[in-house]
Amino acid sequence: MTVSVVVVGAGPAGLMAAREATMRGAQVILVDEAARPGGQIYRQSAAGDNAAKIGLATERTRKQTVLDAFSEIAHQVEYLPGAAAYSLFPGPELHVAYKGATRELRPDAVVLATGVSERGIPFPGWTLPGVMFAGGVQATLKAHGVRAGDRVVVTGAGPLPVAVAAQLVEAGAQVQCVALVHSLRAMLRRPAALWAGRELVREGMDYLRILSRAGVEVLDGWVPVRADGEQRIERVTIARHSGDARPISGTERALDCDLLAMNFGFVANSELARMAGAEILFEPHRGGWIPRADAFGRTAAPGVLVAGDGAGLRGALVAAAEGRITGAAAVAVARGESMDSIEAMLGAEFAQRRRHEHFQQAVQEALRIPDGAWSWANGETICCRCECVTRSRIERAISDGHTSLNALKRNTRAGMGWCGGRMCAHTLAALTAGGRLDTATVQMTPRPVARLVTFAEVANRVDGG
Amino acid sequence: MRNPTRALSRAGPILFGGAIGESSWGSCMTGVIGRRLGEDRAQAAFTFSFEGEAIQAWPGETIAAALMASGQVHLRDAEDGSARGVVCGIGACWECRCIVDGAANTRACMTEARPGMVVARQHGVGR
Repeated sequence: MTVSVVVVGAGPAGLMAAREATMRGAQVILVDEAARPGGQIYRQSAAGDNAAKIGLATERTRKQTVLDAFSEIAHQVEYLPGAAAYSLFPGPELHVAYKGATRELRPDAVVLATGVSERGIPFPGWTLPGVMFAGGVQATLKAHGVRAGDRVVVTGAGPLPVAVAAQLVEAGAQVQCVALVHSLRAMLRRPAALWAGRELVREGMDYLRILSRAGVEVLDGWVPVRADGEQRIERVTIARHSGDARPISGTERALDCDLLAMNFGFVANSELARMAGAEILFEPHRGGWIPRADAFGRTAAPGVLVAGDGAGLRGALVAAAEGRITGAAAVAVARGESMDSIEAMLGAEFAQRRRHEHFQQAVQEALRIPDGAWSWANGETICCRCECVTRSRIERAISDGHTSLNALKRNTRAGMGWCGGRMCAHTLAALTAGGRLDTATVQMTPRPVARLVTFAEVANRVDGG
Repeated sequence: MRNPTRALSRAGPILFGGAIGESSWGSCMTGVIGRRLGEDRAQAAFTFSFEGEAIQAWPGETIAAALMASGQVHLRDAEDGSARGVVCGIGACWECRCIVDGAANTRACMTEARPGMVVARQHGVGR
């Protein structure tokens, strides 16, 4: 019996899920927003320039391994690039905007490998042009070989700011400093986990070496205070904090720059899983609202499986292994077969996932941002960038009794805009819980459409099989 | 030295003042040209306009990438008048929406630049 599987997302998890499901005889459709496979981490260069050389040789080898593995079976997959998977209903029934029309897909199983977006934490001036997410700066380097600024300050938590700063140095930027919330030495608290991820630790050391050779200061225990400039960033002020992420008055340093690259964690793209009825957990350090899944990626929504960072932030190596496991499981779900044989057949992938999940515990030590960060914004700071909603407007609504994210959205429009609430939902969650992230906070109700599509795209429907 | 292009990468901002300018295009095909890593750009550049200014771009580049390389970062004025530019670079935040050939709310980071394209800063909802 030929079964059909739709995979959403063409990063490492999605590509490997598509490959595994294809190799097991399923008819696979791979839906992706980008123009080329690879996702964010393995983003391919847009043209024949040398942007492909961004990053360390070991990273490029990992990327090529995944892209090659997909290439081998790509001719058997129906690949829809530049597509928006915008609604997922029980069935599963997936609506995809592609080339001006909606494809209504009713596969036997769906694998959501939708990844993560970056999380911003608002502070005064963070809406100025030239304040970018560090991963966005990296994406522009990877895809186009273009560096987003000349004089750069990098701030944030975890390993990404360090990697991006080093890549900017390699691309000729003058990096003023890297201001980290925590020392990366926090990771030393988990020596066994570091050993499990030794290849990645070595790459982190390489990046630190590039920074030290270029004379770039890496500051530990610093936070952004504000960004200033006329119509674009010209200066950022950073300050020390005493462990709670609240800046200590009197320790400020002002740095001239034309680019501030920031990363304060990630937000899982879990809209489709939520819409389909998966059970949702709130784990702020693993991507916020993430679907609960079993070892095979199965969620509470029948026929809906999840893999990779969108199912909880754990990095590209976990994603690739988990993609294979989930791709195999999707075929078993579609055929109504048991999962018994999968663990035996994919023992190496289960082991790889276990090992790198162990390493991620160390990464999370460095990623954990104290709740004091939610006090960086002042009353005038815009928290919902799409709808220009300030912190004081949100707090007034909360004091009026609009204490859920749904109520805040209805009352203030925060979370109602173009980004679908991806940029501000954590901020709203923190403000409703008195300045901290509470795992009991319920996300806004997910409704169609999860991605912006035109009326024409919705009205023009084709049965997609 | 593990990366032989590094020396050239470092030399880029010194040779070219770290900023993009007419003089830094085209002639040097290695290292960093202005804000671009310059090797292996086989195809010819073209121009499009942003707020009436000619912006140089290479095939495959997004509007956002070409504008960043030219030092243009202010792409939009939000409904409250605040200046905005590219933030996520991957199509998630919609902060870089601008008016492309008359179409408002077009994401600069997701739209490939084309010769002769007319791009304008979007004010408010763009109508």
